[in-house]
Amino acid sequence: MNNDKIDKTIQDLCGELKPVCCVNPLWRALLWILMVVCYTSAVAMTIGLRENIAEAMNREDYIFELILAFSTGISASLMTFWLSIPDCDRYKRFLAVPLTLLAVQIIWMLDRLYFEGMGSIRENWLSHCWINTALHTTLPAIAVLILVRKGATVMPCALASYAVLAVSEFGWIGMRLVCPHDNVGEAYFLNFLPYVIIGIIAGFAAKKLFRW
Amino acid sequence: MVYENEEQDKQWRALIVKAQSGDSAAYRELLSALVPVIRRAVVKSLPSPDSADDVVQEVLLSVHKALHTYDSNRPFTPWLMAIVSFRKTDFLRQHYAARGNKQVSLESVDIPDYLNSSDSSMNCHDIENAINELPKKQRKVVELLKIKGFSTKEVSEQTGLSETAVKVTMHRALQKLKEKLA
Repeated sequence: MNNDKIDKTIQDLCGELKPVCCVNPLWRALLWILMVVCYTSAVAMTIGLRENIAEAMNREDYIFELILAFSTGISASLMTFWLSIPDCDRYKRFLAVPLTLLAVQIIWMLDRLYFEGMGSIRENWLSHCWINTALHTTLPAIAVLILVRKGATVMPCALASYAVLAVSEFGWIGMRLVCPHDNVGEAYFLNFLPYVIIGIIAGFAAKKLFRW
Repeated sequence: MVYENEEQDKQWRALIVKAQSGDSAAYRELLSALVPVIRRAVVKSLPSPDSADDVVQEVLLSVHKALHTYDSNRPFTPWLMAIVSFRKTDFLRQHYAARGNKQVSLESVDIPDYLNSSDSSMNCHDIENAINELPKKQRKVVELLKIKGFSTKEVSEQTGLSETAVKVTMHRALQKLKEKLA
């Protein structure tokens, strides 16, 4: 055993010690959610809400979809920030909540896809709202990365997955507020899937991104 | 949740709260107290005890980096053990990845020919001679049971001895072989 080396490390660490402020991950999560809600609303207002928003708001399926995405986004954000601290075992019982909501959402989409079909993906390839989705997702993704790196995660891959899910859900809500096309095939495959794929690829770099 | 050593946890919690406010004496006391605990927690799962010091150091550095994430209303031990487990896994992952790089193909390994080498054939002959020197009954039991691989019951049927007698004979034969080959 090399006690001298460890004693030296302890001495160095004590020399470097500065008062630190303990920030509850819940506060960080709420800060991020608040920021994303404001940002999404601002972007949607700037681009312009979809023309038929009043009519859409009267449709139960549209409201259900937004509420479902919002609930998944909120629960995934909370999980992301809870997983950003070492002592995250106590929150593991909530891991299933966003995943269950996501499963409901996927089933809902598949059901719609079955009835609505894929839509005119080829014709609308360049005229869709995918740039709006990029606007809606880029800044929240950067913000979550910065805030999560302030923590010290021991589950980087799970954290990255939940972060991708949280950003995606808020991006989806933003896109649905501005894009007038309701066909789920077009909305998902044209506007959204590319960013989910980018998010997943970024998630593979989780260990490097969240190294501490 | 009740921990094995709740008193110790309380002490550590008091120390880390002081450390969070910048008290380096409390911090030194805490880190010194944690060293044997961390070492005990990691040493069994590491490939060699020498690497325990590296992991202990890594954990101490991680505790320092994650100091701000500790919530003083929560127990200290789970927070520490999460870091210990994370760093231990990290270390093992790196260790086995490095070991993977050191793998060599079977063709390139020079395997000695045990059957033809003089030392090993001498050993085989020694064993054969020792068996041949055993009394007839013991030699027969050794041959049937250990060389030909019959069960005790089968040896008993072939030799006319009871199963217990076969076991006793085998035991005595092994004792004699051990003495001769020592």
